[in-house]
Amino acid sequence: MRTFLLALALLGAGCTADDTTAVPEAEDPVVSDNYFGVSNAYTRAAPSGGVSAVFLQIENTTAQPDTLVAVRTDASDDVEMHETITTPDSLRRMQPTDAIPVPAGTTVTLEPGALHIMLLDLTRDLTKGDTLLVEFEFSERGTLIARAPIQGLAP
Amino acid sequence: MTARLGAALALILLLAACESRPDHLAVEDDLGDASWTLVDQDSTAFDFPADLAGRPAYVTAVFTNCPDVCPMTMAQTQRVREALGPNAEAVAFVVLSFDPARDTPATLRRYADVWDLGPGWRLATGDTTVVADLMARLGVRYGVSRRDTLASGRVYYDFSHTDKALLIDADGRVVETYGGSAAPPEMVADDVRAIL
Repeated sequence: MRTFLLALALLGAGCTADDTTAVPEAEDPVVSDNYFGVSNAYTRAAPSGGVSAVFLQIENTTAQPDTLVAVRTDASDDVEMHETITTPDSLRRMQPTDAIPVPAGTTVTLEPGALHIMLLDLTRDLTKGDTLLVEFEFSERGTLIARAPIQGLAP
Repeated sequence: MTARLGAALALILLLAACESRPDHLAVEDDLGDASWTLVDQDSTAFDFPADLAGRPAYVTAVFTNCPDVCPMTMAQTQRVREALGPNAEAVAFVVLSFDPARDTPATLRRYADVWDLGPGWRLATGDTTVVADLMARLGVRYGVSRRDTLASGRVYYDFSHTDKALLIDADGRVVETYGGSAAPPEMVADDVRAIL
């Protein structure tokens, strides 16, 4: 009984109007302010000689911008950074880009129909269920390596 | 007299069937006046659209060296199949390549295998001029947007292209078009059910 009353008193204290600063809003993400990394990388199955694409997120919560300048993988000797656009006459087209800026305090998302890493002339099959190692070179922070699960048509 | 009654009844039923079709699925183009000789992923001759007669078809246009938009279109088509549930068996899913130079039947076979496409899919290619004529009729525009020599010495080219899917009814008539990579699966499934 004494324990119950103590718990009730603590609960009551925690609910006071003056203590709202200790309770984070539900939509506030808990993030480090000095994180830089790649996450959620994946690619699609494709046969040797074909093409595929890598998608991912690049998260930069630091105050320092960076730039993705190159991507490498053992499955292709021709890796390019692309953006898919819709032309003024409503055609879909990919356009290569030499670099992808990652401004301070942002998350850059590479996703289908937008920015992506294109793997041309695959040197081997990318088989659904396997994992592809991908090396990302940034101008300031050097190289990061991510594992990209190889997914089927509709993940 | 009996024959007249039968004909009248058939006409009434036909009109009733026509009236039940939603307005937005009105005929846009009757392909019945044309024929395109294609070949599918199993190297089987494919007379488009005659070989589709009797069942609706969901038709998309892609090239297999496309790493982004076309896989999205293929994925969306698969989602349409899933949204249709058991009705999917009554529908032909046709993927037309506008890159016949690279997309041979063998290439289309590998494309289908890599993505575990089942027997309900028909991937087709054909003679360059035949494909060009078919694409023009379907309103699919495409053109080489880049050409490069890769590290292996192989020449690679890419296309700008229309992102489009078409719904063709059992009589070979185009009744609706969609964005190929963005067609809402449930909406397409509802349209397909309306013309089954």
